[in-house]
Amino acid sequence: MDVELITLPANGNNGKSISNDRITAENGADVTCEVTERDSLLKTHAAGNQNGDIPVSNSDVEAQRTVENAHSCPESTARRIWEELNDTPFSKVRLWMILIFLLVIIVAIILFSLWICSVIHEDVDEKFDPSLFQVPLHFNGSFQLPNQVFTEELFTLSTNESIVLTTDLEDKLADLYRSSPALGRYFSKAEVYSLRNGSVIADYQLTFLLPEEQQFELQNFTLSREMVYNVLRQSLYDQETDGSAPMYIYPRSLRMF
Amino acid sequence: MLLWTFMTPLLLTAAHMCRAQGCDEFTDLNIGHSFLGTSLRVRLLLYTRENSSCATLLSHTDFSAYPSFNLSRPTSFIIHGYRPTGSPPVWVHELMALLLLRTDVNVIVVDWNHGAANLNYLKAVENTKQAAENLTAFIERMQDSGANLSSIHMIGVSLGAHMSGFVGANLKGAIGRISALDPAGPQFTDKPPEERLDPDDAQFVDVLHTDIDALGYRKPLGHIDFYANGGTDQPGCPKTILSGGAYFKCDHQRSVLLYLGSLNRTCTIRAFPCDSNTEFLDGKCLSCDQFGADGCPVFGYDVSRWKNVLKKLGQTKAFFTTNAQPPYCRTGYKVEVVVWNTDVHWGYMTIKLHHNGTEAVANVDHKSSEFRKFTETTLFAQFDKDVKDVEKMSVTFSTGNVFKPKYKLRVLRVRLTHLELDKTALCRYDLLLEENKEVMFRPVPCEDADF
Repeated sequence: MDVELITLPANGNNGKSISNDRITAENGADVTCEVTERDSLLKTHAAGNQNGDIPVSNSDVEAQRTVENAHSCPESTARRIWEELNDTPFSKVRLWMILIFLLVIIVAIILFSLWICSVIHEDVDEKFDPSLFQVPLHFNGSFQLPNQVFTEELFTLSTNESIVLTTDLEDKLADLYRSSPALGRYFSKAEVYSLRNGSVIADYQLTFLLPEEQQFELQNFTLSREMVYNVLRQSLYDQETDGSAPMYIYPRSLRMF
Repeated sequence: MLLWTFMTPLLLTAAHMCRAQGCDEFTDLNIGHSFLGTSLRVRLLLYTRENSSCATLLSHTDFSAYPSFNLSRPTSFIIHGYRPTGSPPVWVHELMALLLLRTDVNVIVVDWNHGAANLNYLKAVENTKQAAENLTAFIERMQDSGANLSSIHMIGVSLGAHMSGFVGANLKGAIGRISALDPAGPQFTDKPPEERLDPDDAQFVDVLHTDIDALGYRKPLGHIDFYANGGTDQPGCPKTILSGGAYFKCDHQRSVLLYLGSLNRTCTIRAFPCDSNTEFLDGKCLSCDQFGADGCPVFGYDVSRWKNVLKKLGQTKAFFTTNAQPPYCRTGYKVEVVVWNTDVHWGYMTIKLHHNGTEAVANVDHKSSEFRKFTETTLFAQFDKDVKDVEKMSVTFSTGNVFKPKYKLRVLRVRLTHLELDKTALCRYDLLLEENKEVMFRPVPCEDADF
């Protein structure tokens, strides 16, 4: 009933020439189509009210109302639907909006969790504890720098020239092994311990530190001589393109034990 | 036989009439003939090095009128298959020309378009037996006139392959060689050997399968059976019916194109004996030691070099893959990868080889490969072209997972070995392959590996 009362002014706005009271009666009929008895009672009341305005006999009105009543049920339902559509139909809009909203939320949650998964995904191979790396492993070898000229100063390791050259070479080796994805974590230090004649031949020692528990497996694969040697060798081939650079190392001269 | 005696005068007169006009042509029919059905008529068109552009219609009985038909030369027969449209096969001339270029032979194109052009396939199948009788009589005649049966090579396509088999069986397997190009499957599958091609039909029977799942024959039929791309879907052939007629015949027809490729020597296709295509793609059949210095058999015309060893082996199934366009040959490399990831990873690899601006690509994606810590994973990479010297190489690792986190494959060593040339293997050490990221590097000659 409440809803019906609210819709009243709308009815008036429609410019109907009939009075509010009558509409109430009509509306009453709308709500309970079946209750014809009550309906006719209201009708009489309405007719009484309107007597002055509409010069028709009660019985005439009665008859008219009965006819009207017969049609009023479907007609007014249609009108109500039309009105509901005309008004902003919040309840219905909300339903599909909620459905879409829920869908979006679900998708967002899925995507978010996937993102979270990939963000918090821990690559077991990136985690290691350097404090466990205790067992030292050494590799010795030599290589040739054909574009350097051997001097007496280079022979003595304490001279300025030889310190410059050896630090340079040590840095080079250290940079290479530190940036290696497989060997980097085990690398400890690179040392160039002598420079010899033959343009210049540099003798070096590489030190790696291995964890105790996997040391044998690592020595056979990751830290095998083949790996340590070839990581350096392939880097020498990579720089081979400009063979005139002063710090150029001749790849084929590389030795490692 | 009756039919043959009946048709001979007819063919003779036809031959004489055509001779007057110059060259004899392959019978050109149309779909209308096919619709109405054609009755069998076997025409034999002779090509030799002397008249390679102009065919001579041979008499089935009397060879005296054809001086160019020299029976001291070997003779190759080209036998086409079912012709539902009635049109002459487009590849016949090229095949003939390439055969003549290779060796000085008599090439006889067996034109049984009347008989093969029939919408009723069963009728065409029936005709193969009759046409085989006809050809048998002709070859017996050749033998009577001094031809050596072991110098006869029959190249049969589809139905023509089985027809060659029937001829061979009629002649007690005495003819030299039958090359069967995608022998027809429908109406022949699961038939006993006498009703299809089999290894006893000739001294050497080599078979190519390109469409075993539709028009071709699935099981081995010869001394060696080549399965191109597994014998099923050929690269470059339409995958859906939307492409029209090519959908039906492309795979089947590829057999002829591959054989032509083997004749013109643009490149050789090495085939690897194996039990199944999957094992072959897995790289489990790359050893060719049983063939000694010759290596694994080369597909096509030149497989005759392996005749003796293959006959000793009984029946051999051999596999190879091809490109979508000519040159069809691919270059095989063995790629061995050792990783140090703690967890086992599965994935695919795309490998590219670079040299002087040319790029050869191989996708190892027939299935996802397993990469296990400190264990060598062997991949069989087949590149679309051969690269003389590998200057640079690039590898892309992918898993195909969209939602999973991006994995990193931590490679200790990747080793690239050419399967045919005795080149030093190429290696690269210590690689980090992030998923779907191409990593390019310069491989170095491998050192003797310890692991």
